Amino acid sequence: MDMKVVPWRLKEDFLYLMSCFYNEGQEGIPDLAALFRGVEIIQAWSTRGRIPHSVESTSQLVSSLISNDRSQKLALAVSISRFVSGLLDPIQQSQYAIPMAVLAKSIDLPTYFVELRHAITHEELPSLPVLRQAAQRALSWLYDHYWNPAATAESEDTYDYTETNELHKFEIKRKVKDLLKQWRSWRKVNVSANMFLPVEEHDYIQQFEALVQELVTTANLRLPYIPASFVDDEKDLDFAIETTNLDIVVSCFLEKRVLIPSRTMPISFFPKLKNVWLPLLQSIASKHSFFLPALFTTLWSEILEISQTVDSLVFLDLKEKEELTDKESAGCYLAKWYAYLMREAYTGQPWTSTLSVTQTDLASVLEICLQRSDPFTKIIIDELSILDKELENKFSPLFQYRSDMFDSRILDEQEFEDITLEQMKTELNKFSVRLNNIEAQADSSTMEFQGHVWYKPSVEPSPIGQIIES
Amino acid sequence: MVKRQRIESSNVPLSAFAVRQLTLSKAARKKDNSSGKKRSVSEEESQDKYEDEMKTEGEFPSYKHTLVQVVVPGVDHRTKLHSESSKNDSEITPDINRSKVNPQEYSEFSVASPQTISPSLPLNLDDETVSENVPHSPQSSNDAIPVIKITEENSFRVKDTLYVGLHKDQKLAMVGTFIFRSVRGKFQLFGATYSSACMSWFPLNAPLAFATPVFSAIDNALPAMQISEYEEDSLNLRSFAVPSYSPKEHEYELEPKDILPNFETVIAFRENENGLSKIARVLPFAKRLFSFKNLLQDASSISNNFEITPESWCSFSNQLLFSTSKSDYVVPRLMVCGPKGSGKSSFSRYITNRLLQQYRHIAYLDLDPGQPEVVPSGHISLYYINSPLQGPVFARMLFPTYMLRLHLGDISPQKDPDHYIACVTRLFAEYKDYIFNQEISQKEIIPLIINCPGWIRGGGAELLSSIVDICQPTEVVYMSREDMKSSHREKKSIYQHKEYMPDFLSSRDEFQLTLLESTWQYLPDPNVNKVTSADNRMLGLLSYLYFNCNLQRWDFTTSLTACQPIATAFKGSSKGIDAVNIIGEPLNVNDVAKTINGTLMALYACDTASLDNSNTQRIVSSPEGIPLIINDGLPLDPNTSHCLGLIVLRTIDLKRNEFHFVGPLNLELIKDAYAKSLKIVLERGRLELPVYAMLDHRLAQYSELPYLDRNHDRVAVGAHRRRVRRNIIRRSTFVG
Repeated sequence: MDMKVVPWRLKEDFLYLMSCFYNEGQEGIPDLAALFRGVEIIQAWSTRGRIPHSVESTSQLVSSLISNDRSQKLALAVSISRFVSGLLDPIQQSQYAIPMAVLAKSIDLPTYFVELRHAITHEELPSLPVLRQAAQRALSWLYDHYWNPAATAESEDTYDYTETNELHKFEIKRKVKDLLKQWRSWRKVNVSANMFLPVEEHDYIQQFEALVQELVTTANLRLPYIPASFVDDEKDLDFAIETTNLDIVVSCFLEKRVLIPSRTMPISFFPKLKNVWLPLLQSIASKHSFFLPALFTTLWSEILEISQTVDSLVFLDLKEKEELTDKESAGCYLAKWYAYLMREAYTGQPWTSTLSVTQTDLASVLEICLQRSDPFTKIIIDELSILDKELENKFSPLFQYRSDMFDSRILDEQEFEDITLEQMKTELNKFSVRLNNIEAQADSSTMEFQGHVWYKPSVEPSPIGQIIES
Repeated sequence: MVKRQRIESSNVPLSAFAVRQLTLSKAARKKDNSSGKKRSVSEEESQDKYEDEMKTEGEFPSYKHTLVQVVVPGVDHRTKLHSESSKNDSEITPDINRSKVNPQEYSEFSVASPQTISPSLPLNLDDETVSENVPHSPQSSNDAIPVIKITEENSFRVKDTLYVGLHKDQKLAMVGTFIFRSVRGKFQLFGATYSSACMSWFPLNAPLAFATPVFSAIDNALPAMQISEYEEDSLNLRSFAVPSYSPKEHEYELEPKDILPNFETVIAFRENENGLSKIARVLPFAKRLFSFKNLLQDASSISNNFEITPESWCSFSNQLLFSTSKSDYVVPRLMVCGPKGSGKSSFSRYITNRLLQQYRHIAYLDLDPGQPEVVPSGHISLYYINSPLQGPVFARMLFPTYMLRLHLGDISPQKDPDHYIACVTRLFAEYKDYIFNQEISQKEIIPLIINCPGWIRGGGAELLSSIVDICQPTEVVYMSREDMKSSHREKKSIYQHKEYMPDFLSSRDEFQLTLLESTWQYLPDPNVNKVTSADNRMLGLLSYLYFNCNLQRWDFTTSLTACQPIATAFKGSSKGIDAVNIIGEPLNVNDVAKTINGTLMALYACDTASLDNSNTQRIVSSPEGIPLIINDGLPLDPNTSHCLGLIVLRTIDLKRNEFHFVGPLNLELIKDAYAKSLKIVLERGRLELPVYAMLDHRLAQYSELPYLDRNHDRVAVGAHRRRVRRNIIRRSTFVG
């Protein structure tokens, strides 16, 4: 599947043009007005760029047939000559010229046209009736060989893309989940098996290798709706996520019974879980350079999402809480994994070579976590703040402050009651003023020059040549 | 026009230039017995010089005669000459390619004469080296340029800066996207000389597949031009240089003299992440352009194609600069013409860089709409340059410069020669105005370089003749693609047609005509790695469209469908677009919206008067309210309008009656235009948007995209667009 630029906006435009020239299923030619309209449309199309030869030829043949003056003979001769050479020239593929009659056979074009073209160019010009009849023949040849096949082929070509996508996603998920399940059940039995022995040594190593390979291949496959003309950029993570199955594969890892326990578990269970999955992660990471980065980014966005939805005022610290909800438990595990991956990458463990974490990255993650008040980001802070002395020193007052906040939250709640409605209103006002200022800045892209307005609208990505109907 | 004698002082020995002239005239005489007046003059002149030279031989008996070749830097002539003579003994006479010149005298000329004439005249010693001095090792033709490799001895790295030391005449080739400056000593880069006196960094983007720039160290004692940070001037030009980088040097507390102390010249390099290397995201074939690991890479082992300046180019420019001191000196108006692919652009770039040694600015009249020096194609323009032109066109940043640009809407003048000539006239008038004002205010008059289109046969020759009439050049350079070395004749060229120099060039006498050779014959194989002109245009267009003017860098990761557009209304009192003009056949106003949507359009500023209704034109409104100029499909009048840039009309919003545009739109220009109470008009020519610019994988889930079709060209006969093949060979037996 590949994309080509065409002069018509949508397929219906193409079909409309066809109906101007040919009466579907009816005898005879369409009325004059329709023919004129067709020629006009092609005139407009031709200013967009080069148009398909058969379309151009149809227009030239038709307009010379409907013209009614002395030059009609010449007009017909030129359009017939161009009709033939336009069809045959591009299929001159060899270095030496192949006779036109031979070429004509290959595309089922009657040799009659080739002879006529020769006569037009080099001999006496054929008579008007002959030319008229030839033009009619050419038009019906074009209908059989171009218009009709093009019109029908295209209607078959369309199918529901969203449906295909969902179906594809579902299939891949099922496949990956099966593979992960296989691994989990095997690993649970052989918890301490060394998975990094030479392949020949044990059968299970071979099976393991095969399983990893299967996962990597699946992740590398392109999504079904991505045409071949999209350039493959091996160096870009976003591109890999957007065009291949990688995203689907990674999302399977973040589900229950994989990197998250099947039911709510205390966080102390993490080392055990890690032991189950680590060899698999390590092996995939060594074979797919985007697996770890993708896992890492997806983990982070999941954590942020959960941290925003959980009400932090109710839920203060994990240690004090007896029962965790499903979501909370999941969030804690994701944070654990995230912190673990980051630590491994930051300390330069060889298996995480595809994931580079700089001091700046670490600092920005810590900064974001410090602005939150949920327990998940706290796990990340607790695990990561010790990694870098410099950062620890820099951020230590903030770490301290954050812990204080956790402890003093209950007191705060009483203070809330003392705040009057007036005070709250003033506070709210202040914020709305600030918000307006920020918005105004963002909107400074509107420019007015002598009454003419140019501005930068905030719009969704849209295809080139979009029309927003009124 | 004043006629000048090219080589005046008779005691000057045969210069390499003269050797080349001699070769040329002999070659020309072989082909064409009725050679023009101009050519025979230069031929006699050269012949005389040559004979003089032969006479003076006897005066230096102590010197063994050495061969002085027509030396091209880096090409191993020993192997070349050897293979030539062995292959084509009969065809080639040794005295054409080699002449006996006394080495001492030769070098004296090279060093001494410019000093006596003009202290600012630079030297290209490295380009004219006597073969003995060039360390050659027998090599295959592929690594013929003796560029050095970066080793631990000649380089050293401090944080992000790489310092490379060069000895005199050593050459270094680098690829990538980087900035550079001279820390010590002087070096040359395609005709421009850089010295440590200038503290600025210069950006250079050098992809593979194009000729790799070669840094060559030159003698520090030689006078050289200074590329300094020019102060703001009347033209409001801004230099390419990046002065803001310079203070960083002191962070490392390095004294320039302590860096690689054993080398005369030290060049500093820094990677410059400007987004260009990501161009493969929008153009698959561009993958090979940056297929190396870092943004700064030693090219000695990965490039097989280096920038070459034929020695004749160098001599020609020396002569041009040399003559400035003469009393009858005229500021040159140099026209460069020749067939397609003969290196017109390369030479124009080279001579511009050389002339910048003498002048603060150069006026550049770019008349080749197919491959202009400033992207995108489809335009001709006049602009003023104050920094050297380095690297391939698409890899140069769009620079804020004074420029008058006119939109042809096509990559060739062929479709509308009348409009083309009108545009040329307008552009040249602009230069004349400038010169006139400079003269009045007694300021420097700047030279003009005219780069012509490569269409030189039939109508092209007529067009060229008109250009000569309009621009009245003082110098005409004809770039010849014909092989001057007969051994190359068998080498199959990508251009199959023979070229003929238009006759009028040699028959007119108001200018000095010089034939120069093209570089491609020096390439190991001209067909390998050649980026076609169509590909080059595509690169140029995409480079233009994806350039972010605010950030001064390229962003190829945000597609045109995803980036933020600029919107303005096409109807109502606050509308930003006053009219739309479509070049070509007159069309039904009902079709306007669908015709222009999603196309590349030129944004024009026009005189109010040019939009008035008249006998020949009127403005009508489409059903959507788009104002359309009905004028029989003619382009806007170049005398009352100028182009502000090229943009893509992405969306027509019928709810708000607005156009949404994407592309590098400079709103300052629009503001200026309104301030001069000009009208803003969109003009649609024939430039096409490549499919890659219309795609985005995020849109792939749409079942149907506007103006795109899946495999339409495979479903039926004649569904392809017209293609013209000009390289079919007709066998007499086959012709029926």
